[in-house]
Amino acid sequence: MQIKRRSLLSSFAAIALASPFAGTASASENVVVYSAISTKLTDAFVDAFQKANPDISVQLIAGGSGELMTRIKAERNNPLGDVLLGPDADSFDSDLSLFESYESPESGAFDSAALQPDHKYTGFSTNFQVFIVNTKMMPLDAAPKTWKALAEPPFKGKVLMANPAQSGSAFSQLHQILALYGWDVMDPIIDNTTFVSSSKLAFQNVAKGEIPVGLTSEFNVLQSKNDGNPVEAVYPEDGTALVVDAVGIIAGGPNQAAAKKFVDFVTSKPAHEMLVEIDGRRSARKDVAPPTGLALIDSIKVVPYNTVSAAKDKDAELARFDEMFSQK
Amino acid sequence: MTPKRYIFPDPVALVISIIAIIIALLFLLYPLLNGLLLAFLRNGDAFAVSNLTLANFERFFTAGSYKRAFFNSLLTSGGATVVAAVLGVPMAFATAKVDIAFRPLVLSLSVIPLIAPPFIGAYAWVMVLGNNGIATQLLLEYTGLRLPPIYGAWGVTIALALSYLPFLFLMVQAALAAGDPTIEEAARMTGATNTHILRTITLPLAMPAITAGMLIVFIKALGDFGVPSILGGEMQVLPTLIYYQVNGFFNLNAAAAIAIVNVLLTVAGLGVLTWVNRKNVATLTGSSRGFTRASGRGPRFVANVFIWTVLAVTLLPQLVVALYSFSLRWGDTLLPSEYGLANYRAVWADALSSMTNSIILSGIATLACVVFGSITAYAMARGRAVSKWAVDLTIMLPFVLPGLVVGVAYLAAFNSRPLLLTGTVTILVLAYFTRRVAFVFRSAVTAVGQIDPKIEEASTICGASWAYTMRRIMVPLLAPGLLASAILVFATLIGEISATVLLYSANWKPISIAIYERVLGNELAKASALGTICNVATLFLMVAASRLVGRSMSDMFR
Repeated sequence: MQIKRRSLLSSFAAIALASPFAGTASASENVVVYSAISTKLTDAFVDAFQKANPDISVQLIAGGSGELMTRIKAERNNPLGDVLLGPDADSFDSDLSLFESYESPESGAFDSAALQPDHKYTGFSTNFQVFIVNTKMMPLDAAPKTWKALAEPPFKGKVLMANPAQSGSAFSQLHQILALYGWDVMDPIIDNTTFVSSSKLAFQNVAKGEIPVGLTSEFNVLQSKNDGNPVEAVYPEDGTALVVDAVGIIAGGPNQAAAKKFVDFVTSKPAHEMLVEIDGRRSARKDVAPPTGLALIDSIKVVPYNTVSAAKDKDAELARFDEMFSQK
Repeated sequence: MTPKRYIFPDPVALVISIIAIIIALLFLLYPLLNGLLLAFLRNGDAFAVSNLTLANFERFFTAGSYKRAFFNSLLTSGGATVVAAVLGVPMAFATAKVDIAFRPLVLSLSVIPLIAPPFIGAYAWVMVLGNNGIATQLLLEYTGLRLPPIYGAWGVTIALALSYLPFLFLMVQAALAAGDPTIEEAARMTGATNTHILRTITLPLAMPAITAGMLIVFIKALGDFGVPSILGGEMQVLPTLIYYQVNGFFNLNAAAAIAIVNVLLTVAGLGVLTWVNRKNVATLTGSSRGFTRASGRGPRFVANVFIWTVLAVTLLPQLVVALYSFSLRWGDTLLPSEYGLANYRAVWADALSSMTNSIILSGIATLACVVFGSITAYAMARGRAVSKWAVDLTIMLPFVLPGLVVGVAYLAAFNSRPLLLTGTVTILVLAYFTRRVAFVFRSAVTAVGQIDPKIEEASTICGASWAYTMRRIMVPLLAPGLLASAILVFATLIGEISATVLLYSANWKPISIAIYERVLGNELAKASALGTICNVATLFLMVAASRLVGRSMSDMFR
């Protein structure tokens, strides 16, 4: 008993003493990656990167894009992360001063819409916002075909959307509808639609048969379908925008050189083949084909999505949304 | 004439109390006041007296969504507290006062909802009781009854009640089992009926434990984010408002204001508790004799049925999580269509390393809670009452603040020299410590209060030093109660997510984060496998810990 108590105390002391150095103690170079993408894809990236750069060890912090941005903002005076991987471009645009300008040597291969003018971030995957439809609950020909249709009576109580104040993808859906039609159409949509706190629920609950229609990113529909759920994606015929998920270097991070190497890897062709293969995402590179099962880009009506105006108008649009939402 | 007592008549004691004060100021008071000060500044403003404003609180009077969130928080947390009491108190009576079989098992199983990993637990309710859930489908098929939708205030209230019921159940059970049997025996010998004893003796004596348990359920429910975000549907509560102010708008100022309102609600709850307990009924004398439990067939049957029904319902989500962990394919069918161990194989290595990290992190934090909590409780119970409320508030504050707020406050406070702790494992352990020390402190205050100071005085008079008295008398007397609360603290820290996700460092990833990562990546089956491993390992550790000190679980929560 006595011995046990001693050893517990001494290990406590050892950890307390060692811990302040735990973040930095390593023989080789480090890179600290804040990742908002799936573990499967992150792990594949890290494995491939370390094979190519055996002298750099990757340290991962995972979280939702909101949590990671909160971390970066709180750490502003003493940045601890090097690379932010995965949040939508809107998150980066919300405060560009948090990020370092860096133009990847691969940037020529990218769709110009995925590049930030000052190279504060590089779009790494692009995806369309679509309707996920549970075909067992609602036949495809009865499903909404346009954003505007969501405002119509047959869909009252049948549609699930994440709260745009709480979800980046839901905000880009709101911003798209506003860009197309303004509040005249959005107000009745707010009336018809059920808003939930988590963007995951907007497709998971449709897949599980809780509600027939949800608004989500196209790769969620593809993954859910591959898991055996009776779901299909409907691309709005009145046009949908390519929303960009991006990667960027955190300003003032401790390992800038290694961070650049990591971004070079994430923007490379082999990495983009992985994100297509593993996550079913659409690559922002022009030379990587979309995953099988996603609609060809020629068959989709694409409307431009302006991330700069989205970031600028965000507060006003959300305030207006909140006002309508609280009157429901 | 009462002899004048000094709290710490000894240099050792003086040093310890000074260290305790420094810890409280540096790690409890400073980061949290620093964080809460933000509530009085506009978003983006630097701190200056001229910038102070109440603007962030205005929305509680103007915005409909804020008013409704306030009301919903009160409704769901209050409702959950009542439901938990209605189920938990009779369950505690049945367990403590009736001679039921498998008492240790009942007590061990009852802890599981507290370990349960966040998010997937709430999501499991959807899989059981959702429009297309297992229970809903079975009921519809066999009885034609359609359950009402769980989304909204109703579902949130029930899920919150069942998640936090164990706190109340264990506290009341412990109080009942530890009560002095001689009072009831005396009443019975003088001819009192059972109902009369229950009404005039047993219930009043259990009241402090019941109200304390209810307060903990209320506080925990008031701070819960996972359940309302998944089951709330469109309903907002204060924690979801905080979450979207922080993670949607990065508006820490508005979040801090909401957090303060949340704290005020808790303080109101504390006030009600003090009012209910205004008649002090401390009668416990440290009797070591257990009392006889009812052993008739009737009471035993009723008690068993009630206990196992409540247990089954509270464990339902975790059973679904366990089922999900073995499923390889669970699409549009009632039950999984393919089973196997592939999920476990995929997460095994991850589980092993992250569970080890969790055990070390939570273990150290728990140890710190016990040492600090009991010393402070002792000083408060034996000392003069000058600043009791200040100590109480300092320790309670991080307990009642939502984890997200504590996380942000810690990030902001410890990100520059000389207190540069961000990115180290120390900050996480400290945050765990501050979030849970109140729990140990509360039970230590109760425990110290039950020990007559005369025992200490006798020891001192006989010539024992303060340290010797502590080691030989107080520690052995306090240990059982502290161990029970330490085990609860440890178990609940394993699943902590809301502060962890902001504070953990890459080389010390705890299992709650490993689970959360899988949830983020939409790999719910693998998240469930990790969650099940976490549940089983924590349960095993709890049982082992109680065996190690020679007590079974049932003795410990006596």
